[in-house]
Amino acid sequence: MRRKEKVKARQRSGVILILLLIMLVAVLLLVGCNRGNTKAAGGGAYKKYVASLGPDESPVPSDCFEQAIKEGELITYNWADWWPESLFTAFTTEFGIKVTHSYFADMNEMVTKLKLYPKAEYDWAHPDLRGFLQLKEMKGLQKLNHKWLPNVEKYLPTATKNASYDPGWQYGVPSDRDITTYIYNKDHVDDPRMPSWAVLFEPDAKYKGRVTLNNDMFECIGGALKYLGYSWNSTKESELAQAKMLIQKAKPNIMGFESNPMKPLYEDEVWIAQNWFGSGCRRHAYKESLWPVLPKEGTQIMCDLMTIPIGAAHPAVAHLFINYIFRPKKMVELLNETRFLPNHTVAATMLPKELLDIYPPQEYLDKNTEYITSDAYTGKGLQLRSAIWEELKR
Amino acid sequence: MGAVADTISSKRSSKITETRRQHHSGKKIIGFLRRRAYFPYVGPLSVWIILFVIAPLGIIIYYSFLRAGPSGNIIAVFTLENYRALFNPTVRVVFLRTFLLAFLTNLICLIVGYPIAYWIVMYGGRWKHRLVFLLIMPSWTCYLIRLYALKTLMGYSGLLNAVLLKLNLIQAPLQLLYTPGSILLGLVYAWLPFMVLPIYASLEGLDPLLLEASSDLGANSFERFFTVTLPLTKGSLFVGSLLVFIPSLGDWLAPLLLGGDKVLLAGSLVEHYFLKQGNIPVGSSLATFLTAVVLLALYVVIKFAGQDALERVL
Repeated sequence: MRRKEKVKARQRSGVILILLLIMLVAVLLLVGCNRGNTKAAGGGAYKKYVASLGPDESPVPSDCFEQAIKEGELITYNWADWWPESLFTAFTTEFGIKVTHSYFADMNEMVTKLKLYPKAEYDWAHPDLRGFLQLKEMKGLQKLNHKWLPNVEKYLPTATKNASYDPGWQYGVPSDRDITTYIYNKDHVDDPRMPSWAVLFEPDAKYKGRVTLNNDMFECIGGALKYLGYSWNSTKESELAQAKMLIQKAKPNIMGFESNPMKPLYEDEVWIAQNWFGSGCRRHAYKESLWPVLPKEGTQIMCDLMTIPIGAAHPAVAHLFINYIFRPKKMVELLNETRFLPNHTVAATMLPKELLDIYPPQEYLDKNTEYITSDAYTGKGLQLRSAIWEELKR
Repeated sequence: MGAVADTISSKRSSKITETRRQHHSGKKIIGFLRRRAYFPYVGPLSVWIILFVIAPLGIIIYYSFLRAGPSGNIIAVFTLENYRALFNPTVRVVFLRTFLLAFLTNLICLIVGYPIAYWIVMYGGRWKHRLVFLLIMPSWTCYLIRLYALKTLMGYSGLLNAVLLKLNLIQAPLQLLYTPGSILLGLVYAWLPFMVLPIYASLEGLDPLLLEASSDLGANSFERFFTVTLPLTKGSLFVGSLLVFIPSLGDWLAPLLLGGDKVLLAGSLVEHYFLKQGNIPVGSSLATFLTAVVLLALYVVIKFAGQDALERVL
């Protein structure tokens, strides 16, 4: 009896071993096959790529393409939960380049991370204008090769190419634009002073406790400065002191400092929230009664920039990706999802009518908005604002 | 009766051996080395403590003595000017406020936690372990998620307001969030299990014969609690307080999420310097100061509670 059991046990273990071996071989074959596919080499690939593009899409030069295929990987560093994943999967399908994502939830966190570890291996980082200015000052960004970005050369508006924050677009390519404003709930708020900043900073008594301000010193202090009639980028201590007093007076009326009060807005807990225009459009699409405004005293215009940090291990892939995003169809796909203002001459005309109707008119943007400057966001401007913020929250 | 006398005599004899030991400190070191009593200090626990406690702390202290560059980055030049930030009036106000909040949290956890532990031990019976398990289980979730859960519960259209409205106890939803009380509630909710567990452990180890003896000697339940139970579990109160006070001092998530970020606490101040001002050396100096304060609190509590009280719990 015992010998039979031993033989059976040995047979069983033998079968299990053989099954494991088969699984191992299968896995190795699959892995090997995949690797083989990504290394699809040769000039034939470049010709195929050029032939696959539409009439309004320009290819990168062949040296960029060859190097990108050789590098084979893209490590992105972007805001969490924002760009549609379909853009990245389409990129992988077209070029066979693997995309790995890293996310940040806060601009300060991103800048501090790159400050502590300048050689961080992100190929493509997507800061907003403030982070871009701070990173540029820390010399943390690579210069872009314009020859490798023909789509950008073609479609970036001339005004943006010579913008004050980066003349000659040497370090970053803006992917969109946005302005700081506030969102209000039409069902509950009816203020004749609309669309002034006064509704946010000096709210009516009946809206007490239903207002939130941005939990960011630049946005909050900047808005206060604009309401008082000064420049968003002021570094004059007298003007900043007045802005501080305004926010201090507003503090008892607000519910809290919250940069993304989505849930409270949807649930009618907050009726007036300082936020951004693109975000306001998305809230409006979700809930009809939420509307962003165009403040009459003016505001700042900022953009999100696609940059390549100095620690990037695959710069050619990053250039290929930036060129890919600037194809009109891809830009429209992105803007449909994020609902930000376009920074692309052709995509601006290809957007659906419902979006174009809501967008602020160009005259407003030209007259009432200003780009942020390095003085305000680094060095002395940063110190002054940071000290004010500390005092406000004491 | 015999048990009580035994406890008293053993306490007296341990005091005598302690004084004897102090006279023989030189011989103690040699004995320590010969008996290879240093083994526990070079084991895996020490590796863990060095890697995850001492090394990160050391890096922060090292940063605090370096100069800050123009964008707040670190330049490897020794300087003491970062510690000048400690004389900022904000620091005084913020630290005092943090101490008050941590002290209140501690007090509330004590008042709420002791009855819970007492009830589980005395009346738990077969359910004792299951009840303790239920108490610990929420701590398995990430702290951030628990705070968000509280936020959902206390929110405008949250569960609490919905129930109160349904029962017609209030006419309009209450503003429960974004107040100092909500920060306190968040901290108490998060750290209460850490107060209950040491007290539970200590009460479990209480000899029921002692309680029987005291009631034999004529004490009623009140006297029994205050003269026997409480003094014997004194150590666990101090341990629980440490486990609640120290995390509450450095907490910055609760004021951010539940308090609407309207006031700065010590942890938020360090975060402000690290992330918003972006000045890493000054932020490190504040973090070092906070750590020093915590260590001082630890030292005071141990001195006050007495070594033997702590040993009895641990």
